[in-house]
Amino acid sequence: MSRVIDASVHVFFGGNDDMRAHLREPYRSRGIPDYEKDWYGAPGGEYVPWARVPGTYPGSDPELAGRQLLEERGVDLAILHPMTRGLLPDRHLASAVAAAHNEMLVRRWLEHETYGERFRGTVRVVPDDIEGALKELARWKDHPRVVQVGVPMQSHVLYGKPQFWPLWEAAAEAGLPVAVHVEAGSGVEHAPTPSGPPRTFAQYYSFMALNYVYHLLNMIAEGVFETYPNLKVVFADGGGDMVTPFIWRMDTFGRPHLEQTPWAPRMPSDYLAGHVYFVNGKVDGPPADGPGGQDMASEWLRMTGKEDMVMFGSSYPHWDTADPAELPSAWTPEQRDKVLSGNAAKLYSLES
Amino acid sequence: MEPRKVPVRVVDSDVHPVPRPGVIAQYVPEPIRSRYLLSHPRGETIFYDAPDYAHAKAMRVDAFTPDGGFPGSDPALAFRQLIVEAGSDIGILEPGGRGHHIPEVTSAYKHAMNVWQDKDWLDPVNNWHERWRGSICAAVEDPQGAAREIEEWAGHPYMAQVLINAEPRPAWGDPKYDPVWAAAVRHNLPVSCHLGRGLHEQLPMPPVGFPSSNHDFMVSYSLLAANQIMSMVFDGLFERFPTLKIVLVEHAFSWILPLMWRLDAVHRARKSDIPEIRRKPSEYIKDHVKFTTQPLDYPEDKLELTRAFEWMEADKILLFSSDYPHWTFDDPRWLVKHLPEGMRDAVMHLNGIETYATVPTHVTALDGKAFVY
Repeated sequence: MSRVIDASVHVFFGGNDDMRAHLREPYRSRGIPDYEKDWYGAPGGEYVPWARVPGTYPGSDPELAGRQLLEERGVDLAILHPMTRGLLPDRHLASAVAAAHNEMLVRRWLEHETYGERFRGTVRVVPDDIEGALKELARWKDHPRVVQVGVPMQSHVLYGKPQFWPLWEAAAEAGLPVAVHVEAGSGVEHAPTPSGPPRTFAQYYSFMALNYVYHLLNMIAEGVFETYPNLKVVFADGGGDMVTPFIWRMDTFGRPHLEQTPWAPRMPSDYLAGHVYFVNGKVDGPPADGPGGQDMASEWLRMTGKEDMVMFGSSYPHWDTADPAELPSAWTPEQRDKVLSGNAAKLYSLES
Repeated sequence: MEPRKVPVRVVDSDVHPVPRPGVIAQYVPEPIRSRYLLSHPRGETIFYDAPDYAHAKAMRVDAFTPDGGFPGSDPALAFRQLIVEAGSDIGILEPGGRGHHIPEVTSAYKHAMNVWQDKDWLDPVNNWHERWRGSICAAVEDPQGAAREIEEWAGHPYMAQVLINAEPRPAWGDPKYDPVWAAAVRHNLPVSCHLGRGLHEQLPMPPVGFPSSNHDFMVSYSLLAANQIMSMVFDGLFERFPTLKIVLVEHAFSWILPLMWRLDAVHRARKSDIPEIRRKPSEYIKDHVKFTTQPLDYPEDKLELTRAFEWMEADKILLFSSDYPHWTFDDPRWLVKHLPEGMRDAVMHLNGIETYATVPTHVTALDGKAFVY
């Protein structure tokens, strides 16, 4: 039986009083949006029913999450990722909210008496506030159970642009991958699709994760990976299947463009291996009854090196909590091991 | 003696004619002509420039006319380069162009493009060989105006489809566009959409920031088409218009393979939110949506491309296109070699003949024309 590293477990405060207790004034008295999406919440609720407990928030109780994930679902190690509260227009407030979540993550989860040694954490920073982000990173980077830096998928500016480079540089120097994840809550984000607000949750959900493509292509074209050979980025909402056609296109269409971007002289696909990772979620991979069937799942996972880039992640306690049993049965045992634990163990330097 | 007829072997779904300078204005109705088109001088409008733009203008450099005219401005040169020398049998003309930010102004421009195609390309002098088919240009953001335009030109023997820009918001599943689809379906015309590369609402607005260069801009442009597909499927467009045919031109296509998986999986997980979406997304896509082959993106290992063609059932969803006279031109003799042999007829001509009611199965033979495959 494979070891299982769950590369994406979402953690929350138990409620707003709980969060405010971790904030100093003037932030404690500010207005702050809740975790729920306003327009784009999942019909029927954001979380799996079995993780909901009266009186507290799903994903806020380390005892319950530890029992459900580590004991009942056979997870050996879980990479925790605090969700915060949307893109807030005031960067000072945003950084204060991130810092409160980090304090909660470390004290409540990573240092938990029973399960702490099987939790690893993602510290949240605010890319809009580079100075604050660097301070927050410096505060936590040497904690032995902090293994990652987290930033929102939502942004007004693509992550290849130079204002973010000090953060990427610091993360690379600290040896911490940067996870990009769709932020909970609703703030000053742009519409979630290039054609504006979608009318259905199905469309919102289908597209939202794919926004990573914009960030990734821009980071390649701007030379981020050329400049920071040790930088590693995890796109944590899934959609890794899409990297194959987009990197084919980036290479084919891109070749004549290389003269415009001399700071990124290699073929775009050369920048994937060792730099780019994906969490594999519930709707990723060829479905058994989909076009092409699932027999080809193993061959597909090899294409463009995805078998070394994809990591299983449950997204617990969200409604789309994934289960290793749903992974394609046609994968080879080696591929299954890589996705279930090998790739994450290597990326996060987790002892086996 | 009757002229010799030969079977159509290559239907080219993306050819770009361009009006010569100063020609279009006369066809734009007043007062829009004076108030918007001729009201102020305009310079070069390029941003996100293709390689060597200052020299090539994103065009095949051998397609400029001998007197310096813009590529695609001379029907006779286009006929020689695309039909005779490269070997396409039928060229579907797709006049490009940005929309205006005022929808009814865009409608007026589109009307002018239709009059111009009729007079300068589809007329007996320039279409003596009957190889050109035009597009009824329509401003999708002005649904009533677009429907009027479709009604005006439907039935023209050389118009093959409706052509809209890909960018106006919201996405196409929104019921505001229903008059456009209703008019197209009424006349059995496919609706094709092409990149407009305009400004603001005429430009894809990436939710997480603007790309830096033409490289990441053009590659990520495909996400606009991916999102249009999500909207058309999940907003029930194909349930409302069961005979609607959509052609996505120049949006690349290999992404449709994992996108079909993704949408099928989302549909399975979210069925109860959208009970009116009765079939799997991939089934709607295969029945209603076609993609043009240019730009063909391929991996180092060509076998991977072959596998992708098979898995996506490319013979059901692709139409050959060259994008003449743009710099990204795909020669039909080059393209066809990448297709699995059993899919070549479908992609190169059968799907085109089936999609466009005015594309014939046979054309008059031409002396010295290149043979494609």
